[in-house]
Amino acid sequence: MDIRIENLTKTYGNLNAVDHMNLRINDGELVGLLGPSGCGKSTTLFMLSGLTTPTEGKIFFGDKDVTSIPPEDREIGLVFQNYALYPHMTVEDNITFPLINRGVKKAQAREEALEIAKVVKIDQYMNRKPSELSGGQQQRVAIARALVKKPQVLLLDEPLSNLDAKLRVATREEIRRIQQEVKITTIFVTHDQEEAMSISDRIAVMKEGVLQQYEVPQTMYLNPANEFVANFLGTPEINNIEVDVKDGVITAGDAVLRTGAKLADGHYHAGIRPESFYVDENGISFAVDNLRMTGRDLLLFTKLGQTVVRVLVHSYMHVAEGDVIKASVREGHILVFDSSEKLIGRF
Amino acid sequence: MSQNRKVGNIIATILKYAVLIFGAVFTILPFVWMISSSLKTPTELVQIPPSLFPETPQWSNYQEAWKAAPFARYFVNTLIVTFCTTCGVLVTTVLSAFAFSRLNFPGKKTVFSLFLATLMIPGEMLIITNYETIINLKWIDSYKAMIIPWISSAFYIYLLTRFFMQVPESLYLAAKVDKCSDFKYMIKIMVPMNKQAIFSIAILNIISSWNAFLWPLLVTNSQEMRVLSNGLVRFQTEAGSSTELIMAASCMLVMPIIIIYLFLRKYIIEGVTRSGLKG
Ligand SMILES: Nc1ncnc2c1ncn2[C@@H]1O[C@H](COP(=O)(O)OP(=O)(O)OP(=O)(O)O)[C@@H](O)[C@H]1O
Ligand SMILES: [Mg+2]
Repeated sequence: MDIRIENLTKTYGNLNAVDHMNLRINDGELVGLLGPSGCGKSTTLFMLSGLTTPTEGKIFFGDKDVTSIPPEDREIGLVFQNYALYPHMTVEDNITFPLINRGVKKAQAREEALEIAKVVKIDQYMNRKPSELSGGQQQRVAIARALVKKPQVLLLDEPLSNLDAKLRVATREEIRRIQQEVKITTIFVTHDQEEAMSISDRIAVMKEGVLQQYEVPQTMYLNPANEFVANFLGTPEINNIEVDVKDGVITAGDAVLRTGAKLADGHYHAGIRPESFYVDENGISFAVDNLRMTGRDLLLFTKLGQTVVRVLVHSYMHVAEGDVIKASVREGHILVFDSSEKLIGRF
Repeated sequence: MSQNRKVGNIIATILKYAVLIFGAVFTILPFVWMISSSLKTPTELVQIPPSLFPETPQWSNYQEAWKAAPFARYFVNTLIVTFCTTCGVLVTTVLSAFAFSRLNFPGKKTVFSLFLATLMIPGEMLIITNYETIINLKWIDSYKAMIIPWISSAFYIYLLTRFFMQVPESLYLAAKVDKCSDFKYMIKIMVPMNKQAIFSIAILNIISSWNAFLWPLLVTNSQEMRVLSNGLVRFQTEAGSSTELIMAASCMLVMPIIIIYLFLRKYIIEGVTRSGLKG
C-alpha cells in the first residue's frame, strides 16, 4: 500500500513536533525514519498509526484519506520500543489477541498465529510468557503480533534499541527478511544512522520536526542535502572545515584542497568524510597527533590549520604518533555548503 | 579466611532464625492457647500448673458452643456482609483506579485530591455521620446498613491507582491498535497484570469486614441481623464462666479468615509483577 503524507503537522503548545511534512512511500518499501532524539520521529509514527491526531495535514493509505480513521481500523501493525507485550499472557495469547478482538474464532486465530510465528521463528515458544524470552525473541513476538492481522502497513518505533550490539545487527537483518517475505510497506524509526542505511530502501532524515531529506541511502550519503544530514550520517563523523575559494582554488588555511573548482569566490563551510582521503605523495602534509585502531581501518587525528581532522586509512599502513603523512581528497568528495547550510556542490 | 566467613554465615543464619522463631512463638502462642483451651474440659482449664494440650480433645465443646447461640445465623450474616462489601470494594476500586490512572476527564486531579483528602478524616467521625445517614434512610437493622457504607475505600483506590499507573502507556496504545476497548483493556490487561495487588486488597477487606465490630453493633439490634463478632461478645456475657465454649466459639470465628488467608497467600507473595517489558 502506498502511503502519502501531506503537510503533516503536530503542534504541542508552541512547539512544532512535526512541521509540514511531505512524504510518499511506495508499496512494499521499507523506509527508515531517522533523526536525533526529540526530532519528531515517534510523533510522526503515532500520527500514521492514528494514536495521535495531527494538528494539520493529511495521511493517505493508497487513495484513501485515513487522517480521521481510528487506529484499530487503519490496518496497521505497530511495534513499540519496549515491545509492549502483555506480560501475563503466553506468546500465543499475545499474538492471537488482535485477532480475537476482531471476532476471529479461537481455533482459526491459533492457526494464523502459528503461521506468522513460523515466519518470525518463534513457533517453538508459543506457550512461554514474555518474561521467559530473550530480548530478541520478545521483539519477534511483538512483530508477529503486529503482522498477524495482515496489516497493510507495518510501523516500528525504535524496535532494536533494547538489544545488544550483536543482536541488533542480527535482528535488523531479520526484520528486513520478514519485511521482504511479507512484502509489507514498512516504516522503521531509529536514531541509528547505520541501522537505517543498512536495511532501508529509502531514508527520511528529520530535524526539529522538519524533514531534511528523503533519499535512497547511498545517494543520501554521497549527496547530503545539507550540512545537518552530512553530519548525521557516517561514522566516524564527517570533518567540518572552513574553506576559502579564490579563482577556483579551494584552500583550508595554507593547504590547497582543490584547484579548478567552479565556485564563486568566498568563504564556505565544507565537509570531508574521513574515508574521502587517500594517501598521495603530492598531497597535503598532515601531522598525526593521535591514532586509533578500529580493526579494518586506522583512524588518524590530524590538524588542518586549527581544525582537528579525522583521516581514515587502511589498518596495514605503517604510521605512528608524530609521523607526517601526505594525503589528498578524492575527486568530488569535498562537500561545500552555503551560508544557509545547503549543499552547493561536490568538488 | 573462607572458613571464618562460613562460620560467620552460620552464626548469622542461626541468629536470624532465633529471632524469627522468637517472634513466631510470641504470635502463635496465644493462638495455640485458644485452640487448646477450646478442647479442654472445665476442670482441665483451671488446673494448676496448666497443661498445654488437653488429655482427650473435647470436640463436643464446638457442638455445644454452636448450639448455645445462633452462630449459624451470625455466620451467614457475616458471610453476606463480607462477601458483598468485598465485591463492592473490588468493583469500585478497580473502576476508579482505572479512571484515575488511564482516562482523561476534566477535574481528574481535583477529584483524586478530594479522594485522598478523605483519608485524613478520622474513622470515628465517619461513623457518626454515616450513622445519622443510616437513621435518616431508615436502614437500621438491615444488610444495606452494614454493607453500603463500606463498598468503596479511598485508600484502596489510591493504592490500586498507584499500581495501575506503573503499567506502561505503550500497553494501552498497543491494545488500542489491537482493537481493544477501554473496558476490555481494563478487564483483560490491567486486572490480570495487577492481580497480586487486587488479591491483597480483597484479603485486607475480607479481614477487616469479617472482624468489623463497632459499625454492625451500632446499626443492628435484632438477633437475626447480628454478625459473628457481636454475637461472640454477646455469647461471652451470656455463657459467663464457660471459658472452653467461648474459646471454641472464638476459634470458629477466626478459622474462615485463616483458611482464606492460607488459600490466597500464594497470590500475594507470588512476587513482584512479572514484566514483559524491557527498558
Ligand atoms: N504528548 C506530548 N506533549 C508535549 N510534547 C510532546 C508530546 N509528545 C512529544 N512531545 C515533544 O515533541 C517532540 C518530538 O517528540 P518525539 O517523541 O516525536 O521525538 P522522537 O524523535 O521520537 O525522539 P526519541 O528518539 O527520543 O524517541 C519532543 O520535543 C517532545 O518533547
Ligand atoms: Mg521516539
